[in-house]
Amino acid sequence: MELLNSDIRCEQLYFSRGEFRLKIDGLNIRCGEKIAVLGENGCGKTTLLQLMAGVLTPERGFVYINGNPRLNVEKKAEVISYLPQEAGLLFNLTVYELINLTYNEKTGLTGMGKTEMLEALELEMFMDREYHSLSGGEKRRAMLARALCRNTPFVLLDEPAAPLDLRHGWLAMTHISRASCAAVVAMHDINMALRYFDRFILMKNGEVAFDKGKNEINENILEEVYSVPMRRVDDFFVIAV
Amino acid sequence: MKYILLSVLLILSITAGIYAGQVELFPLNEFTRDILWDFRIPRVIFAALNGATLALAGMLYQITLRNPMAEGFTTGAASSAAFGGCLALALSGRPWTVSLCAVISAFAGIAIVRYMAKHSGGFNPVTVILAGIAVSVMAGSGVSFLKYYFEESVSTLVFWLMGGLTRASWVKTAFMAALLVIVMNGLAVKRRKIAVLFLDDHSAITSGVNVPAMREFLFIVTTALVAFSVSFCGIISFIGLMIPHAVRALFGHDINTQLFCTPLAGAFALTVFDLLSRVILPSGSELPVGILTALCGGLFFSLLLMKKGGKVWNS
Repeated sequence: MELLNSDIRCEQLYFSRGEFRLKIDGLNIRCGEKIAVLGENGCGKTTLLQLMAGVLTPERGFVYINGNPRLNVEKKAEVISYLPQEAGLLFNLTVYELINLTYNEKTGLTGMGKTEMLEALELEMFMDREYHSLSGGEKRRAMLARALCRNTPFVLLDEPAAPLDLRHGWLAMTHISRASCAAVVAMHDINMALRYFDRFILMKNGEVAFDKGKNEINENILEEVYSVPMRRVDDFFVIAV
Repeated sequence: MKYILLSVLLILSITAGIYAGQVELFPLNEFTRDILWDFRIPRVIFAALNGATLALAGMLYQITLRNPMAEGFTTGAASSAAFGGCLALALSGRPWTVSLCAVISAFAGIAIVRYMAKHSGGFNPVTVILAGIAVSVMAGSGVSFLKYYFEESVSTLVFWLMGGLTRASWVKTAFMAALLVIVMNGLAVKRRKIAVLFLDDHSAITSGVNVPAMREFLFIVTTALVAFSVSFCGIISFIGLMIPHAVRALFGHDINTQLFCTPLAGAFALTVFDLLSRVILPSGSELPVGILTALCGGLFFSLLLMKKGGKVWNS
């Protein structure tokens, strides 16, 4: 039950790499939230996720997980699951073996077993297929299933649906939005984000430019974040050219 | 099934290895019983243990360094051990000094590799391989220098380097068996975490495995395996590189298959090669086993590559 009241809190985070600087004054992610992280290429979406996931160490500041800034790798993994932008697999495991590598039946927070997860992402017919014989989108679904099957209260997903076709992107997003875990998802499709997420972290030049609820997003905000004229058509945002 | 097949093959090869040799031992008499007990049996078991050790080491290096060419030589462990062994051989020649020096210099070589890799930031697999090759080349040059400088013992050095199981004894056999049992036990306990290393680093870390620490642990354990094997029987090439690939291509890629089939297959292969090396020359003398493993292993591996090319390595 303790896990259900968990949160991730970033305080005074600072990280630099070459010319790039990431500065986050404060950011709080509570359990069950569905958050989309949006912004231009190179604005720091991935770096932010990596700092929260603990694969990068900030130069200054802390990431508190359930109030603890110094959880070890093992403990952190019980709270956070992470899908990198380019997930890779050495050797040719089957999809089932891949998911079993890190499967965690303990917490069951996403409320789904392995089989239901595979069905939800339409992977059941690939269970015994070798990972490296799959197409790019199929591989992505398998990796997404692996990350979600860890059943942690937080999942950080870096462009989970980028190579997915329309229907599988929709399936994946529906599944993520219905799961009981908190999801922080870096993505580019603003309209898809509006459909499935409640909170929007819009980043620009390594800083959080806006942290808004779904209903507060408007064309002015998007114009400022993406530096391109935007227009609203019904419920959708399009580039106004 | 694959475990049974490999076990049966291993038992058959050990039986054949004990039965056949330069000296006809059966039916047993007083004299041949001593040969059987003091030489033939320890030697065959020693061969099996070394085969298992080398194959296991190759597999662990390949997983740790995410590289299909990783084995004792590309990481610098084997060449460093060879240098230490040669140095002791040229200076003193007492068997245990040779073994001890080989082990110490293997760890010294690996310490240099580790230092170089860490110095350039983290324990990056590619850096480790490149540093390993650098150390390997330097150790090789050291060996050449020893051959040149200690001209009178050049044949001893060359023969030692060629690799052979002639120096087998019950003590060494017991030592290798103990080493292998301890290491296998540790690996079996940690095998779920080792399997997580199949994933990219970020996925692995966020799945609860301290990747750099795990890599370093495996790297040190593997170096110990290579160091002791080389210190006892010189350089037996290609088992460490070939067997893990063969096992993956023939039996599968999951951790259990790799972890348990690879030592069995390595033991089987080296027992067979050792038997061949003892009986292949019509003169009754013995061919250094390293020559055979490299030749037959190379041929077998080329065939495997042509047949299963794409399936040998995926990343």
